[in-house]
Amino acid sequence: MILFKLAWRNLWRSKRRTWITISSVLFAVLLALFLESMDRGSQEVMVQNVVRFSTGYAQLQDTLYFDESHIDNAMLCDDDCMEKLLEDFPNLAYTVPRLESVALAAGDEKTRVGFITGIHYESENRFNNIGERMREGHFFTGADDEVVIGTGLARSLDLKVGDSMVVFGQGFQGAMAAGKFVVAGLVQHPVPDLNERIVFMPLHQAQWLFDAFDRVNHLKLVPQRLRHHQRLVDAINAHPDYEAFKAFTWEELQPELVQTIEFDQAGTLVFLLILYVVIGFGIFGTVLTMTLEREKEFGVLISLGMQRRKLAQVIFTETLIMNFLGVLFGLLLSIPVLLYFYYNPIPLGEGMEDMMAEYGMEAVLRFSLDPQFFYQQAIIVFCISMVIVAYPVARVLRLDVLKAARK
Amino acid sequence: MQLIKMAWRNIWRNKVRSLAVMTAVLLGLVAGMYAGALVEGIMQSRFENFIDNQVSHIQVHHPDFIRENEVFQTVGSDLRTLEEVRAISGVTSATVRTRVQSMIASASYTGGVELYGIRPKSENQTTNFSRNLVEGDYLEGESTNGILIGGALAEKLKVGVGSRIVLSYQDKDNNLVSGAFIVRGIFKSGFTRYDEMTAFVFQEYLNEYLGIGQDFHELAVLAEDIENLDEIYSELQKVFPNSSVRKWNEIEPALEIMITSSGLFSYIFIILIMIGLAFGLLNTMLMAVFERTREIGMLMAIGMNRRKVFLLIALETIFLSLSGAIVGLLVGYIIVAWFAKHGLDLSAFSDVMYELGVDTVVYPALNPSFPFVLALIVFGTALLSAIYPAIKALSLSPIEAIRK
Repeated sequence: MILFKLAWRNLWRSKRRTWITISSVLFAVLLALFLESMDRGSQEVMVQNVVRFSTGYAQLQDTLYFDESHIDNAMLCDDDCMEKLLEDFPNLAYTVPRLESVALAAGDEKTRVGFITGIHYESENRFNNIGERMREGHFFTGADDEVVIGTGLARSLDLKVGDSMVVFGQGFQGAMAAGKFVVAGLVQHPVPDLNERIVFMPLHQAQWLFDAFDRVNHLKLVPQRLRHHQRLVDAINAHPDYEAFKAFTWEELQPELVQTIEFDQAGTLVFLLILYVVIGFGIFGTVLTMTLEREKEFGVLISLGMQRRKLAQVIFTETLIMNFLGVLFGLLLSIPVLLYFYYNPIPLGEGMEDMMAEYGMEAVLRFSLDPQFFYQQAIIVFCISMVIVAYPVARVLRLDVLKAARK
Repeated sequence: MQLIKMAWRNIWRNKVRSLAVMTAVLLGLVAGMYAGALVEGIMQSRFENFIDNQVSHIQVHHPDFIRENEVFQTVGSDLRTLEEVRAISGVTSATVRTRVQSMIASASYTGGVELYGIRPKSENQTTNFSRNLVEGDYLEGESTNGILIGGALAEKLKVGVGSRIVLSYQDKDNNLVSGAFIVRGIFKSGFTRYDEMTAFVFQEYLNEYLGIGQDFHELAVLAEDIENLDEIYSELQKVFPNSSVRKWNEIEPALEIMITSSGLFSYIFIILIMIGLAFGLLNTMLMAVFERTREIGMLMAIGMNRRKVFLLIALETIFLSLSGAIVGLLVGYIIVAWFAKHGLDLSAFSDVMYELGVDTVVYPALNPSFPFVLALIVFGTALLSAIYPAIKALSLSPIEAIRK
């Protein structure tokens, strides 16, 4: 305790010096957090963009569907089955069913390849706000034979709201699928390829069209907390009632995305390491100067009879306090800074807005506020500064008392 | 001059500290330069792969074809125009294609593809397409019903070389036509989505089905150098006054988005490093000034004027950072130059690199202006971080300082 008291008093004996050292640690934390937050932010956006409009965070499929993603392997899951899922897994917020297959879509004269997708509009919209991308008309009102198609498809088929469209293709297990529908609305799908193909229709209508009653290609599973999707998937796969199905996480469904993220993280790690080295040397510079400045004091103390070990302990405690304060203030200061950038992301520059809006993206560098990396970075910077502290401690242990005291 | 000498000597009075600061500057610069060059190299590789092997520099279409994709919306059929295009100076090669959206079906899968009718020889000169083949052969010789499909699509269709697949599309009168094709080869372009959505057949063969004679929908032009693209662009507009002529960034805006955002990221990173450096420098110098209070007070007491004291401290800071910076720039330049020549093997990430369309061996590319920009930033940083400690030194009162 006396150690702590001594160290604490030493610190405030020379406020200026203490604050300079604390501020260099503070700054290190701030910079590292800034970089990490920027990187995480862009990854989160990437995952969100990709996952929302493709696989979802987790998915339930027929056991055969993963290897052969074809409507023939659509799973049997009616409304009761979906309700039972929600009852069995309180972790599950809601499900987004989809029945989809490729078929020819024809307007008056022209024919295009259509991606026919049967959805529950409410859950689909809850999941990816597809309703906001509506450009004309409206989503399903409950009337018969309604479809909503991509603006790109509408353009190539020369279709307007109210026109009729014929779909022709293959249904469940070779059944013929043919039907005539009315275009109720146009939606701009953020994935350009899909915008040229997508045909949304109510799920029951698609089940009728493809002769796949009570079947869906897959159910997107939306966990109560998005981060817990792995837990949910494990729970479903372990449950005996769902042996005919298999649940997957988006990581399993989109290995490319995972790899891209890993690559991105590897890159950021390199950047972070560089940053650590630079700020490490910065802290070292201040600690070194501090040590040199106090050599006389140390020399006098030792010649007065203070044990070197004790003195080293005092210095260690001093720097421990400084590092701790530096990291703490760094974290505190980073909150308003990162919050600012979270709400005011860095724009990518002129002329990018329209271009990226077409892809359903914003032309900005987003920041993340994931609490996980906050303490990670804080711990790393703390460790770095503790390593640097080894210098003054070693210096004290090997100090030439006579020379030092004479300074 | 005297001051410069003094400042320089002062730096070396405390070697360890000065070296620590210099090392920080040096490492920061070397690493910053290398990271910047690496990102640039990856981007360039991706860009080149994409341009050279897929989109080419400039494409010509019927003005409505891009949006409507109608079979009758062709650029034309006059083959002399192709010769004319090739004759434009700066054009390496050019090729024409027929394009039609089509359904592709095997026994186990039905999906949509963009079907390209190509002229194998000129196609290969323009996009070097045959190098992407991983199985089977490129389209050669007489026009037949051979088809090339992507690896990802082949997996979905569960077909291999020699398998028969059926394609359906509309002809120019909007009649639905189906034709059987035999898989000749399987390619992997480096872009999985592209591999899933694209198939290639003989143009002559496809045109017969479509009933459009010798017409084509797309003309792709590869330029020798991206620098003189504008001239070629305006020449092409003269040759095709009624068509839409587009450059790569209009054809693939996503590529430009990617390049811009990664460039921005590098710059932000460099700025972060510089802020880190500046702060380290500032703190160290500030401490040094406080440590030398007595000395500075003495200098002032024996008649050194304030302007000179200010200059002395500022010069010390600038020397510290600049000597680190000069060595750093040199070392960084040498390292980058070495890797630019020998390449950095990133095959540990080969799957991702493939996914991103980047070669596994990356050649860091230094934008020639980059070292100068960096040097300028360092100099600016040094100046800024020199001012505060120097001001602090000025505010010392000589009498009090000496008494310490």
